Amino acid sequence: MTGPFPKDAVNRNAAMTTRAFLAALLAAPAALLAQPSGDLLVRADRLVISPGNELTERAAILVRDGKVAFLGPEIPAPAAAAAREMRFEGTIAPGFVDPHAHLGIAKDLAEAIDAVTPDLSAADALDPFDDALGRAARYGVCTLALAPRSANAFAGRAAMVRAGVTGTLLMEDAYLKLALVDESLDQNRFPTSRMGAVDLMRLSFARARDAANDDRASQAIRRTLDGGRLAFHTRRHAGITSALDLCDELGVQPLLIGADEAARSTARLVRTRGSVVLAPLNLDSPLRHLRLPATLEAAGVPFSFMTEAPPRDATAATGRAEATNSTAHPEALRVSAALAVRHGASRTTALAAITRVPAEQCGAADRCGSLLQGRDASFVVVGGDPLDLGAPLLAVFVAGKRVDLEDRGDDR
Amino acid sequence: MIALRQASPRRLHAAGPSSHTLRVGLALLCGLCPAMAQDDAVALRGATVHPVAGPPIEGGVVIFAGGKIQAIGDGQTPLPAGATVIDCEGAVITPGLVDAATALGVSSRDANEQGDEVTPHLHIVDVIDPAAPAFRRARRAGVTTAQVSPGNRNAVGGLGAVVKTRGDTVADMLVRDETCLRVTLGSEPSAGNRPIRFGTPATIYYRRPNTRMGVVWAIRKAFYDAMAYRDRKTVPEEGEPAASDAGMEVLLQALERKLQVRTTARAEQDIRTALRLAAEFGYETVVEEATEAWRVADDLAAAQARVVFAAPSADSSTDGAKPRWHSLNALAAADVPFAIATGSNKAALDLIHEVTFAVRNGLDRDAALASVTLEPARILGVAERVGSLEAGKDADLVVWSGDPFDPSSRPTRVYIDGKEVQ
Repeated sequence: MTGPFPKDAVNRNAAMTTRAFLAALLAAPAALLAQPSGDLLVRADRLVISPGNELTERAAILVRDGKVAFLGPEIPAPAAAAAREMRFEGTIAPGFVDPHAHLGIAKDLAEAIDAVTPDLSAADALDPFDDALGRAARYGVCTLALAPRSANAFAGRAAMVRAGVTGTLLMEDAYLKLALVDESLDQNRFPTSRMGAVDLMRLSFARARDAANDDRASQAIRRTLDGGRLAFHTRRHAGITSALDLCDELGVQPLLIGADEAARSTARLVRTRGSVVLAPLNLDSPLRHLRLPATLEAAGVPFSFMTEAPPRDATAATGRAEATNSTAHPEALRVSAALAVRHGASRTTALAAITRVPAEQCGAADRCGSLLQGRDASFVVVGGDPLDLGAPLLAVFVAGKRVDLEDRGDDR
Repeated sequence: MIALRQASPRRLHAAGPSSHTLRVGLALLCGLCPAMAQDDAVALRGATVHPVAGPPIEGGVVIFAGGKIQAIGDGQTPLPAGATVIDCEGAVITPGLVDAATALGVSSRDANEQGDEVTPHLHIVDVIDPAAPAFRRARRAGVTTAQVSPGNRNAVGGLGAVVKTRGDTVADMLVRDETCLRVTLGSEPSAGNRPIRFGTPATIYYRRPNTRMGVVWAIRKAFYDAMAYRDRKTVPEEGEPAASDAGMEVLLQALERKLQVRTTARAEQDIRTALRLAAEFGYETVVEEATEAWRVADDLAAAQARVVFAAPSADSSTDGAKPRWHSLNALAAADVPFAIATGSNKAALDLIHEVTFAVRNGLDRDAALASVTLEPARILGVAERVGSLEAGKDADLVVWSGDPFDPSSRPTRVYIDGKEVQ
């Protein structure tokens, strides 16, 4: 399913139908008042097209049908004249992208029925009216990968979702998520050890490679091996080693989620063109985590930040992984990037870590993460530099639609 | 092992030219071009050299280049031009130590699969952490090669591997994968299990076996299942051959004596059971731990079994087995080949100290040195590369400040593949 989400949702769900109908009623007068061309022209002092590629003169973006139509000097005068115009004192930057999110629906994303469920799709658990989607948009997170939790060795497929009061599905196969963490091994069934999990993964891949096996799990794995992306959730160095060994065997590019100890594997990651999704940074983070972005940048390993702080590995108290509900905050992306700069990463790389890189990691670089022509018109307008936490968020647009930043009645 | 590779088509060693292959190629190249060989040639001079494969040499010389030993000899041995010459007067040089039973670089959590009692196809190489501090501790203590095995919480645990104690990746470290199939007797495989009763919570820990005899039953059933699987493969019922099963294929390798079975057994009764099972199924077994070997030395000799005697200095042992220092003397007297090891649960022990205590308790010094070098290398099937100082073997060696069996001696230099380790 690649089309816009609401149409299908209406067919599926009676409650949704009512809400969508009311939303359509409310939206109708605005549509009647729209300018003839329907285009939107947003001007600012500075435009970050993608990190490292900026305009400081004639910084403007022309939005047509939810897409970026023209940028800065390329905007044709007649189109600009016909468009509805907005002007901000600040910087336009690509909307932030979260490469690994569970939103508020953690429970619906942790399926423990089997250790091998690669055919599960997080898209099936998406609630387009989830408050967390509106909240994400209000903090500038315009696109996110909704991922299954780490309850299984093969956890399932992540889906790219556009945030907003009404979320929409952007694409279904962002990546296939595999887990090598305590949470996936504490499920009261085989495997309980990393040794068992790695073996199960290898056998499942071998099984999927044999075209004679046409069960749904094998089909899903085969699709991933044929040009899809494989993401390993693993934190410790030992688990990272296992994941990299498996990627070597499979000949796939490694994508490591939550790899706090990736600093020891930079040479291997560079050689295999691997990349990392880092847990969000905060003021309490250990110094080795705060310095990891700069280390990865110096080594040449691309990295991004996610909002989701993974549950801790087995605690001394219970001996089991904590499967607490997420306390992820969408502002964590901007805070993490700012802290990365504070601890030695360059501004360009830090901004890329919450825009271009996560989009690439999810295979959605042609849809989001930068503001090149034809991509989603999903962007933020910040009253200063996007990584300056003192700079206010002036406006957020998701696929050309302006997000109401004041609608915070249900915010935490 | 063709069958295993089929089950896991792109294993580390099957993934194309490994760095080891490249290293060997490089070494051959170096051997062909003397000029190149001299570039990194090192000569250790003046030490007492224990090649293990031959008599000790006073004031001897060891020359290595390209990661391989080039020559061993007395003080008259010509040194290659351009070689780095290191004076080792007063020191003792031995082969790098080989520890035939360890849990180096793996956590108990990673290496013990609790989802099933019988997991023959699991590979320990999948979970070795090359950066684990235990490897650094081991190589600084003179251990250059080690066998790492799955844990002892399963009746049939999985496949062990032999690694060097240094490397950035497991592929770098690997000497030989699938060296043995780990089988454990006694109380450990059933330790966490509870008999199933009405009202007990439905967790995987409430299951069988929960007795010593139940563990033996699980092992026996696994091998009978493998034989039935072989029959279904060769004589398919109703024209349908059995689907390939990775675990069964591993057990078949053992039944065909292509894969060594490493049976952990401590108490006398368990050692006898290990020998009985080996005779029943015809597989080759090495008995690990063998705490009460002094009671069954003659039976071990009669069964032509080999022993990896683990951690003689450990002051306590599970299963009530009684450790005795004369176990090793009894094995030597009965001509049972044995290695001394730190044991898979005691990675923090210092291997040379184990041997030192064995010597103190009457073990012959040459037999003692062989028990941590050439004997374990033979038992692990890697003696063509490590275990003694001979031209052509890996340049793994330890320079000791004095007699290695003197507790005040320490390794001053340790080389793995010709490179000094840190």
